[in-house]
Amino acid sequence: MSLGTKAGDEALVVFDHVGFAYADRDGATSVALDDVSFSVAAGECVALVGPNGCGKSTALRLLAGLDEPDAGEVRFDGEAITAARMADQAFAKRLHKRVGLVFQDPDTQLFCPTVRDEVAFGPRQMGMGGDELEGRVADTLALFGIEGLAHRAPYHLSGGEKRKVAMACVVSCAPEVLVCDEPTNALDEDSVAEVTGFLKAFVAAGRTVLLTTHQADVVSALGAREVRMDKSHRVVR
Amino acid sequence: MRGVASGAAPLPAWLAEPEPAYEPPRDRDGFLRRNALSLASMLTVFRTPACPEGPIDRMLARVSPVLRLMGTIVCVGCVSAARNMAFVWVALAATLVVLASRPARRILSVARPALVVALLAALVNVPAVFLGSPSAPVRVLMKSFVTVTIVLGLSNTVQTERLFGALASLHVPSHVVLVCDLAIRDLALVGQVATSLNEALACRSIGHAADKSLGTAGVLGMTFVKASELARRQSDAMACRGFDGTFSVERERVITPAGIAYLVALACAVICFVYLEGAVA
Repeated sequence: MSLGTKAGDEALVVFDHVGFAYADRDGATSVALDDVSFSVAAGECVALVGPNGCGKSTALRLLAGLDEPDAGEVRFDGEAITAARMADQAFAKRLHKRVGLVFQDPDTQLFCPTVRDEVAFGPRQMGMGGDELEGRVADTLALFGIEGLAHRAPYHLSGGEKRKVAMACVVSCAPEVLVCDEPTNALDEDSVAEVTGFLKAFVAAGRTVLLTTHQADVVSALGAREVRMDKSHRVVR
Repeated sequence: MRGVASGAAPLPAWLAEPEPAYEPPRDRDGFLRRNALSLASMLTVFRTPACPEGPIDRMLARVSPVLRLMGTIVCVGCVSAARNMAFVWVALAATLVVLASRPARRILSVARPALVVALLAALVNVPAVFLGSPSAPVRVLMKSFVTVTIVLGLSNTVQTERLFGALASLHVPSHVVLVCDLAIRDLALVGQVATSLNEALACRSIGHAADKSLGTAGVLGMTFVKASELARRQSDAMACRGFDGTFSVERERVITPAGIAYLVALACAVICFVYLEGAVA
């Protein structure tokens, strides 16, 4: 089946003349992406930057298959991500295993009773159990320095801690591409350094990162390639 | 500082090395997930601002919401109470004329839910055919379609703030108006939260869940927690802005030329109803 192998020489993630507009209940639309094209190669770190409301988060949603482009194509590993493909559960689950999306607001990503359950949720779905599961959870908690939070309820954590837990619960599934929506928003300096440190290590291990950010220092700290969008919802050449 | 940021902790082997191709175990959670998502997204429609489009709606927008609200109640009451199908046919014709004056997307946004409700109501009444009332499903179908279309027409074309102003003009207590106002706002926000949580659950459901209730219960629980948090924050924000328990809404003039024309049309509808019902009697 699909999404299992590399497709030719094409980049891992391709946005090909993508257009998207949000529609309200009456069908009135507001444009979010207009003829957006860019690509991300395997092992690359790419930062989508631009002003508020230019469509950065929408681009990430399209890559995760949460929305479907109105025009153009979003391809992952050579395969178009469409509503029809996402209706195939095996395809959707394979995509979500390979492309891990960390939401902008951790409050809307965390729903388990404890941090440990959050981190174990994905690996457990993958069929892990026993020592393998415990090992993976322990590794992930240690990776983000949140072992002490394992038995706390995510809801009661601070904003920075929630953000780390949100990233940890995606990373525990070992995605090939980590897609982060404003991962360093509202974090203090130490936490920003922790998150950028992790992302650099992730890319150094040959995995791919696509993130959105407003912070130029984060882009330079990561050594990320910048894809700039502007208010016209297009990529600036 | 701990973790990889310190540069001391390397990535674990399962993350540092490529994994074999992943084949997700089969699961049957698609139906539950899709329905939870569509239920949550239904709540978000409350945030959409009403906007009159089409010539008839633009004329109706000049009528005071108090009259529109009263007119809607009267029309729905007459249609529901009508025993003479001629009145329902007249109401249906008038409703279709108003509907047809709107842009296509507006027609769809009203006609689709109205048809679904009408068909469901007719379906529930099918047994009446076998109990000696063969026209019951058709009658219920038409009445349901007309009443739902009238009510949706009002909610789609009159802003919520104006409707609450109308409630205040009808001497509904201000705390009741406040509760209604907050409920509508919070429903939309809670809908957004529930939608995002369901999307997160979909993104993280990458295989087989032995315990289906874990994710769903978590989403419901978090939605409840966020709803109460929203209510608390709203209350704090109102206190900080000097809210003293008095909820004032802008009241509009009721008697205007448009209002008089509306009242005349409403009176004609009531006369038509009384006349046709008299014919039945």
